[in-house]
Parts: sequence; C-alpha cells; structure tokens
Amino acid sequence: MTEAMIRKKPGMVSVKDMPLLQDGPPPGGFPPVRYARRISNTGPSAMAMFLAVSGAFAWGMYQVGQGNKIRRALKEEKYAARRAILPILQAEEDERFVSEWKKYLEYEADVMKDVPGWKVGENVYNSGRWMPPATGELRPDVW
Amino acid sequence: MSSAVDATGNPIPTSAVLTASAKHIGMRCMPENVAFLKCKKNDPNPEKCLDKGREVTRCVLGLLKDLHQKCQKEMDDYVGCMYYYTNEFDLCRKEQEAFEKVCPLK
Repeated sequence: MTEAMIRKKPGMVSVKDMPLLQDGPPPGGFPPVRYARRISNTGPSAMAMFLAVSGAFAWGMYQVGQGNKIRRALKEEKYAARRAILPILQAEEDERFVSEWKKYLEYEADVMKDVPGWKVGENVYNSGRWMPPATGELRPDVW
Repeated sequence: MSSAVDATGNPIPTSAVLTASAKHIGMRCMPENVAFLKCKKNDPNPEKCLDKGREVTRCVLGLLKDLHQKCQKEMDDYVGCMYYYTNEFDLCRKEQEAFEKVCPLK
C-alpha cells in the first residue's frame, strides 16, 4: 500500500519522519578513480623519425632513378631498331613513289596535251627544293 | 600469319622480320644505310637517291636471306614472337637470346 505503511517507524507522527531509503556509497566510500593522463615518453626521437623517413625517401628516389635507367635502355633499343630499318623502308617507298609519279606524269601529259604552253610535270614550287606532292591524297590504295 | 618466307625461301621484309633482324641490319648494313641517309639529307627527291636505295635493299635482303639460312628455326621462332607481341623487344628476350646465340652479332 502506501510507502508509509511499509516503512513506518513505530511512534512516527508524520511522513516526514520516515527512515530514509537512499542509494549511497558503500561504507568507507568508493575506491579512488584515476583520471590523470599517462602518455609514455618512450619511442623514437624526432631526429630518428626524420632520418628514417628521409632515408626511405632517398632509397625510393634511387630506385626510381634505376628504373628510369632501365626504361631508357629499353627505349634506346627500340629506337635503335627503328633507325636501323628506316633506310630500307624509305628505299622501298621511294621505288614505289617513283613508279607512281611516272604514271601520274604520263596521265598529266595525256590530259593537258591540248593546252598550249603547259609544261607537264614539275609544275610545283619555285624554291628549287623537292617537295612531296600536296594533292591531299597520299596513297589512294591505302586510304 | 603464314610463315615469314615467300615461295622461293627468301624472308619477306615484314615489320616483324625487320625488327627481329634490326640489330644485325644496323651492324652489317651500316655503310649503305649511312650513305642513303646522307643522300636523302642532301636532296629529299626520291629519284636522286634511287641507286643508293637499291644498294640498301640489296644489302638488307641479302642479309635476311643469309640469317634465315644460317639459323632458320631460331629466326622463325623470334619472328613469330615479334609478330605475336607486335615488335616488343622486352617480351621476346628468350627467343632473342636463342637467336643471337646461333647467329651472333659479331
């Protein structure tokens, strides 16, 4: 029933005199709680860390340089091979071009034979240097 | 790809064959190559350098035929590897070493 009927003290006059029912600390109090910081001061020093990091960096850059050397050697090998086979490819293309050019000059002479004062072939620039034909179509059989 | 030789047994100068024998060409046909390039630098007109071009073609095709006769199997393997890997030297080291062991660069 009411709290006063359960917890009453004999001879009690009012509810305000009821014995207390509280949650409190155990006898002797609680044990002390540590709240202070404990960050240890061990481990590598600043200079040690700096040296380790810069050592790793230097070794890494050295490896980069070594790798670049190897890659440059590979590229040099490729370029040397291309330089070696360039003349034969150019010679073959020259032969093909000369025969095609002759056919073209014959065609031009045939087309322009009735035009007075037309110098067939070599109707190109005045600088004296040879320039490849700029007809916009290099190899019609390919393109 | 069919084999690297045509009907009469001469190697066809495809890109794979040429890059496979590029080191040999660079070493043994160097005078012809240099003469042709000098002529070209002088005058880029193809008609003026036709004879030197023929020298280059003769030297290189003869060299290819010679290589093919001396070390046929290794050259075919190397050319096949070059064809498969599109003229990438680094992927054909094994075949390259076998080829250069039988047909040394001198």
